[in-house]
Amino acid sequence: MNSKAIFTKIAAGFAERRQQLFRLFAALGALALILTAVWQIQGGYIYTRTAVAEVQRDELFGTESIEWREDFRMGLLPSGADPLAATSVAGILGFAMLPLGALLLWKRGGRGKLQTR
Amino acid sequence: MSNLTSIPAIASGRTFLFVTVLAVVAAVSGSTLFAAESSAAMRFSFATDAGKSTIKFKSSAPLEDIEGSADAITGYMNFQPANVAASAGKVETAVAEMRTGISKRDKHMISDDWLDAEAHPNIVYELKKLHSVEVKEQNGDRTVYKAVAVGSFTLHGVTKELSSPVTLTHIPESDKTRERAPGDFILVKTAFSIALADFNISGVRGMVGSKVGESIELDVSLIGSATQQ
Repeated sequence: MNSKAIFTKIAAGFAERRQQLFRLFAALGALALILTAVWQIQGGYIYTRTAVAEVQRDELFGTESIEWREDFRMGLLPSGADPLAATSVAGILGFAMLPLGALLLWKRGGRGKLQTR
Repeated sequence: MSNLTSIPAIASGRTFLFVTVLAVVAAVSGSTLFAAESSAAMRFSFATDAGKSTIKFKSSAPLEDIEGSADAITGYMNFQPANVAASAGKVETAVAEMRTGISKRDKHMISDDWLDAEAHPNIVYELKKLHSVEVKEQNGDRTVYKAVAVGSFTLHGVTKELSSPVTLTHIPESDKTRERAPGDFILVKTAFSIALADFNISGVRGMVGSKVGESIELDVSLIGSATQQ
């Protein structure tokens, strides 16, 4: 198979799956838009973590103190050392997935109708 | 003649005896006074290498939970093992040094919308007295007291009276403690919460109650070492 044939096959495959790819990119775009909107609405309140708390135990006194270790963690991403932040992120992603799911189902339903015609 | 010479001798003997007794009494009473004074005036500094004092704070709100700490702690406590209720002291922490692990949030926290570190650089707690003091534990190397601390808490330029349960652990100097620092140690632990509204902290509109808790929980561990006895 020469390169022209390969290209033709890929192009044919792309044309065949154009609608699916369109849906995928539309979904990713919608997700990006939703996350950006949430980020903007939240303003400075979805933060990028710059340090992680490490608990130090003092055996003599039986106390715990916090040492801050510099650690950059991009906002909106779960941060393992901060379970509460992860919960917030999970909530935001969950919130973002609802309209995304609705969009996908709507698109799927639309294609079904088109095919039955 | 011999009688005449013996009178001054007897007199000087009695004087010597009197002076000796006086010196012994003075020495004994002096050492007793000193001992009493040492037990009465133990001053502990919280700016010590003996251990790390920490104030942890936590805000719980429906949309966000924030945990942080304040480590830049200075202050002292006058502690009397014989009269624990009369203990007094003062603790300060620098607002600008408080951390939550997110530098942008830290900047917001100390801005004039919230704690206003520029106008009110320190959070201050002044211990006035202790009541309901009881010894909870006593063993060879430490004595643990439970009590209720009565003092004043100053935040954001507002001072409020505050009562909180407190645990004091007095650790006399030993070979083990000398590895950290000379002198006795004291550990002060307390936990309480404060309402932001009580200290005129309203924050950015709509944030308190949704992303910042209406009240903040504080968990305090202070380690002090004796500076004088």
